[in-house]
Amino acid sequence: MDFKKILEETLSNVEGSIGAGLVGMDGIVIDQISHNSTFDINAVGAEYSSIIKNAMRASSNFGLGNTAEILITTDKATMIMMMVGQNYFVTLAINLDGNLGRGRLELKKAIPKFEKELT
Amino acid sequence: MTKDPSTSEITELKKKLEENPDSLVFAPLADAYRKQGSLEEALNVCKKGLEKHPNNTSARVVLGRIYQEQGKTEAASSELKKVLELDPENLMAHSLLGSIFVEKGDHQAAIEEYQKILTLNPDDEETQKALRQAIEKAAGEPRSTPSFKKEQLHAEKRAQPKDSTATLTIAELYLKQGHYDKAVEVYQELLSTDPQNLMLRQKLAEVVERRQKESVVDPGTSKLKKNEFIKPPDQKEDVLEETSHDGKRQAKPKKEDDSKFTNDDILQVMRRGGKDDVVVEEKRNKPTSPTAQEKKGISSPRTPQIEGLKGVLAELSAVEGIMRCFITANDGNTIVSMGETSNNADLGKQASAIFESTNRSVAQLNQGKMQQVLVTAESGHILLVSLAAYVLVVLASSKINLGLLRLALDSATRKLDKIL
Repeated sequence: MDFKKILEETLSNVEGSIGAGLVGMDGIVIDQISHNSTFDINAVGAEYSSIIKNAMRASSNFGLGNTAEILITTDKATMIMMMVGQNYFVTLAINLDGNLGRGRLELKKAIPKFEKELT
Repeated sequence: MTKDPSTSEITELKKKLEENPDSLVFAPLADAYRKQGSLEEALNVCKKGLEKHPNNTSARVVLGRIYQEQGKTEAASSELKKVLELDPENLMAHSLLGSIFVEKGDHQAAIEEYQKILTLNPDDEETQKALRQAIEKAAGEPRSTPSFKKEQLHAEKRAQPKDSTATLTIAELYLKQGHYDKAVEVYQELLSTDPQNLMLRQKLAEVVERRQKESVVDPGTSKLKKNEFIKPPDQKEDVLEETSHDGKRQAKPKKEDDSKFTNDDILQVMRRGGKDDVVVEEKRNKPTSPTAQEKKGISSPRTPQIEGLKGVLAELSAVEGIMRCFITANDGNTIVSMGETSNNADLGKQASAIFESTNRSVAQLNQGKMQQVLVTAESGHILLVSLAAYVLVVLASSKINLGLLRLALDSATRKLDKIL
């Protein structure tokens, strides 16, 4: 299973990307790649998973159905998380001067590839 | 990746490639060399990698960029076209091809590339800007094209009717600005290459009819008439209906300097998103129900602040697609709300929980101060915006234009920050 290859492809297609990772809903990182040594998804896999679980509860209570995507914007970067099936999610971090729209699209394109590898 | 990658980054990528010569890391390495200005080195790495991975579109895009920066535009175009053969939705390739066409002065072709990007990714602000510039340049050129170009256009149009949208866009922009004569010229030119196109004929007939009406109506109402032309053909019924209610509506003041296309023009035409001002006004004037917390005065800012906050939320809720919005304290208590208020307390607490866990992970990742969280679900979005000790919670339908929502939020956040 070449998850790294898919992550590398995604990263190289998105201008300003910092790092990307495939994480299980239990918080365990399946694979990750980073262009910046300070960005280590291994350290925060569990936190990300907790964010997604909270978002899932909120989506359901708001009557919006299942959560598909979470986008976090800080004063330094933007982090995108997208669900891969029900048990995994993929995350991508982009600099503020990066192309967020492209990042979202590339991630959407990567999801079926991950799903294929995971089944 | 930063714009000016450090040597250490190149060293790191180089090391990875040495460890695994079959790795795809050659593409980011070549790109890093390119960004550093080492174009020859970039070219070598990229070409060598492509020998092993000839169908790697990312690397071909990098190669196209290298050629472009070396001034070899033909080679660059050729590489990018190869990419699009393998991956017709490759946005980077469309974008670079667009910029190459701009460099060559072929603004029509650039417009087509940018429109393809916006079809795939309507919120791409950079491309919106590039498209606006290309349209401005194209509009500044003489309308007639060289005969060989016309022949080529004619042949292409038969094969790909979508190609005509570039000029249609220009026509619609002219209409929006009230330049009916220029719009008519564009439609006529399009019809000369595709005389059987009924949609074009209908549009042309409409413009000619409107132009005639315009010439006899009170000039004071002319601006409103012009704005009606941005409605797409499938909203023609609405346009006629609005015309019959002219007397009830106030024409929005429009910039008198129509010499340039504005971002709003592009957005409206590209997204077909002309909003009904009457509906907006109705929403804006909707009475607001105070929450239990407001009534009790718990955790609430002073009354004048509440009024200010309500005003900003009312403006925000006028954005098409926003279903409800409220401001909650970090402990989950609702301060002020707009739209439906049921369940606000629980939702406020959940919003705070999302914020808290997000803050923790952002801090651990050393990714700066948290500003916004957008949760996209099957049938809508939840947006959380940090406001000092408060959180702005916005619930929007799945059909909302996220780009417009972000613009509206930027403005609202600035105002709310001031009030709070």
